[in-house]
Amino acid sequence: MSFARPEVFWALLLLPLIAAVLLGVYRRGKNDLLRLGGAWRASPLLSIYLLKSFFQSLFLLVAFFGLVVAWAGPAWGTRTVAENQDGLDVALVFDVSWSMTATDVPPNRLGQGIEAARFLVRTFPHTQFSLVAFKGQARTLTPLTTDTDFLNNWLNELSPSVATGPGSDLEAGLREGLRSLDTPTNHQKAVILFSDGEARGGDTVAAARTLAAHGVSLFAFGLGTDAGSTIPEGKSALVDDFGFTVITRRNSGLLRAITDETGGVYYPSANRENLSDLQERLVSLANPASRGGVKLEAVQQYPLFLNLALLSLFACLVIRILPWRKLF
Amino acid sequence: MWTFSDPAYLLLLLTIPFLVFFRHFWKGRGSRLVLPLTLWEGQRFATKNPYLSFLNFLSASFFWLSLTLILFALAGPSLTRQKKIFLNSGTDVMIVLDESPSMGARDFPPQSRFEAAKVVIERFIKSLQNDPVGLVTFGQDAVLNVPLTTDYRFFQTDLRKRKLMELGDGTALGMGIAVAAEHLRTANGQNKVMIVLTDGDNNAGEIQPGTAVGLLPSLGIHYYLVGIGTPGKVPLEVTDPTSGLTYFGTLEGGFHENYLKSLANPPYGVYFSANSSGSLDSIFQSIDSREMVAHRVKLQVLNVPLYQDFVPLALGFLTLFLLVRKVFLKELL
Repeated sequence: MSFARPEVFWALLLLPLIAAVLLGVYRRGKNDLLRLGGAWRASPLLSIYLLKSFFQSLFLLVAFFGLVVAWAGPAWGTRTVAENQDGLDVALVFDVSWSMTATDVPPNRLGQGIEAARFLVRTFPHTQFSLVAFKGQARTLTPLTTDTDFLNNWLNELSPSVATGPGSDLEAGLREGLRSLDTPTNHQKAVILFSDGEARGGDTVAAARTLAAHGVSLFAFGLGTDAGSTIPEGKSALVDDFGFTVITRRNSGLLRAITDETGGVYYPSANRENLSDLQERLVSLANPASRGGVKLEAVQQYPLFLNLALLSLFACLVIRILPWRKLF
Repeated sequence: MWTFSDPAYLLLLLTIPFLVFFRHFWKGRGSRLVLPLTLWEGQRFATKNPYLSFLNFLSASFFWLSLTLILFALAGPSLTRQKKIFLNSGTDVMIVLDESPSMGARDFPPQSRFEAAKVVIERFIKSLQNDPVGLVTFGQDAVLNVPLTTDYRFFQTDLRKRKLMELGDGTALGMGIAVAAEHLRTANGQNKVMIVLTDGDNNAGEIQPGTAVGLLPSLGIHYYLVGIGTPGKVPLEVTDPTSGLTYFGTLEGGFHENYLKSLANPPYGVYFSANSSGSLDSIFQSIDSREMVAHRVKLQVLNVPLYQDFVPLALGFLTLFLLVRKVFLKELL
């Protein structure tokens, strides 16, 4: 089972609050009924009120629960659908923030990513690639093209100076990558992210969901180490405003989360084994015939929970409308 | 266009007026207390406070709105649009644009040769559909600015940035053609076309234009030499991008039509003369009709589901209903 918007489940914290309010309403209502209804019919009136209150509250809570779960976008099970796409377009999205110059992996994080990108460009000579760099802002350096000379020239030029603005806006990078893939072809589309995952600003998960909504797979290489490293600045290391040395660490959690959103894969390093795995996956994406011309699609289950909410609200109405024992 | 995957749910909307009647107006409805006394002359117990009446009406509306939105969400609303999908790649078009100072001659009033060429190229790009297009510019040197791509937005943004003399004050026509040929050579389109826009001067670069165009037929590239300009004296205005200084003068003999004609080698190479913006447009239309291959196209229907917009609204209205009805109005049931 998976959920498109799991963060929506925070709304379920309102359920105990609503239950408490409904309990308070019942207690107050009981006293009001005793005062207004008169002692001569207090006993049957209160027993009906107890039953009606209990079931109405129960159904209201179930309706609330059903709506929250439906909003979260539950999906389980798979079904096969015909694969209409053929061929592959790839956006190479590079984090060029200063933290990518850290040398915790040789020659540095950016250098390792560039080598991996070169391998992919070499391996898929007839595939269209685009090249996007992001720091505080994102910029397409190479539009979608098969011109490997042009691509390699820009890969040579990659450095923090090719993008403007301080920071590391991963969301902007992913969205620009998606924009660069927007061509009217039936090619399968993939974004390959080279980053240490240190996002500063932007809603990266939302951007990953947009990729998923457009049927774009996201693969990410987490460059760097969990132990982290200093950021070179001339011959010394970068320090913050208080004089402390800045340590940059790879954020695998974020990168894994965003690739999971699109059904892609997170690779904790750009080593040969991971590159081979990615190569196989890209080959499979580019040739739907290798998968029998079909693809598996998750089955959305939100109608189940919406129906539950609808029936619960109808039940609330019925309890409210029908007079019991011609009394209440 | 809006569509619904399960429109049958919308039929349930017809039950809502009946439910409203039974819930609010039916005299036999339950969950209300019948008192053994009444007001004089049969008047109802009703609040005189208009705000309370309004709140009562509003909170009831929240419930019905919530129910309506759930039914809409269950009907599976989605935004449907058709997208044209190209099943084959089109013609590879490499545009080679002269950035030498003589292109600042203003014989396309009020524009210069260079500005007029940029405007017409942009119009031409807008007419393309899935035909990869690239841009090479040349001055003292030649540079590939945009590789062959169908990202027309990128192309247009780059074209608008191009300035006269940004590649020096020479005219390396042969280098421009050679660079374009090198990048067209490896392209995998069905048809390869080079469009060279120049006033025909050549005074820089290691490759002669004649040598460069001589290679094109063997590479399967069709080329069009578009001579931009008019003979005679022409006012000239050029801004040096390095110094920012603008130079004014008169250009004489800066249009080498005969030389360009000599470079054309039918049927692979064709020369066109453009002495006005209108004629430039016609030339591009002519190239378009000669070279563009037929596209195999299919229409893809794209569905963007919208239920996720209805559900939070329904949830919000239900919460408001509970808040107003139970907390503020203190409704018993």
